[in-house]
Amino acid sequence: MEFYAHDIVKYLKNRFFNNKDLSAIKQALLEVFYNIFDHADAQNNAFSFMKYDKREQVLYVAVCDFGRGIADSIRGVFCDIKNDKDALLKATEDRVTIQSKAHNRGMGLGEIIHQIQEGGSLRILSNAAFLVYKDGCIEIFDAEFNFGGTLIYYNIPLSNFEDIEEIDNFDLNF
Amino acid sequence: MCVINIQDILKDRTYPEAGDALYNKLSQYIDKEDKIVLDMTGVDSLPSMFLNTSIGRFIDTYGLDLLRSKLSFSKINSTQAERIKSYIQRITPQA
Repeated sequence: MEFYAHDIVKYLKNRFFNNKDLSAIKQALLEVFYNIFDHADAQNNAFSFMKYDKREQVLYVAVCDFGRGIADSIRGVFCDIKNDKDALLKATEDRVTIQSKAHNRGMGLGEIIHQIQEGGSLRILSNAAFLVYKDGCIEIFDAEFNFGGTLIYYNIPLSNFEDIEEIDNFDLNF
Repeated sequence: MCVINIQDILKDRTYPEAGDALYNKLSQYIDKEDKIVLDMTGVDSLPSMFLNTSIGRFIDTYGLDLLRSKLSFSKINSTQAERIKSYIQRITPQA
């Protein structure tokens, strides 16, 4: 999956955006893929679809698994959460994790949201919950049906990605 | 001062494994070196599963102050620098 994410960025760079910093695309893809393979219990099966609209300069990404579902996984650990909407919302908080693997710290979903830049949007359908992130705001709804697994789809406008800018020295004094 | 090449660390490892390897190197040098520089040449992404097992674990073990005083990055692109800053702020809300 790491090669897959790498190759997609390489393709976009070679074909359309030679000097642009497209690391956010790879970052978001890796977070989505690891989210599935770490937590979904989907027998390592996932399905993805990507489309780049050259005219609009927007990348569309959809990744789906038929595993346990984010909401169900969260409710298995946070037993006081009574519905899938609250569970899915909880999953977007930083440092909230079901700790499926030792390297999990609950930063992945937040990181995906973080990569959705101005003009982009993200939707997550999982179990009986549907989350929409757009313009810096999260909205959460009851899904019209129970989805057995998780579907994450998002779009990222690439037109405002900046050129690669290298810094010689970066200290952590902030 | 010592320099750790992150691309070497990432080579032939998954991101969580590479994060573990970096953490082990940092632990090895932390008492011996006054400054540790992470050379980011050629590194184009820093997903959370790498940062969790390296920077995040370092903060858990040694604290944020030591991280700030010992660690710096060289040849890093501005997006990655921003990402590291954001990660540290999110994982340590007091930062």
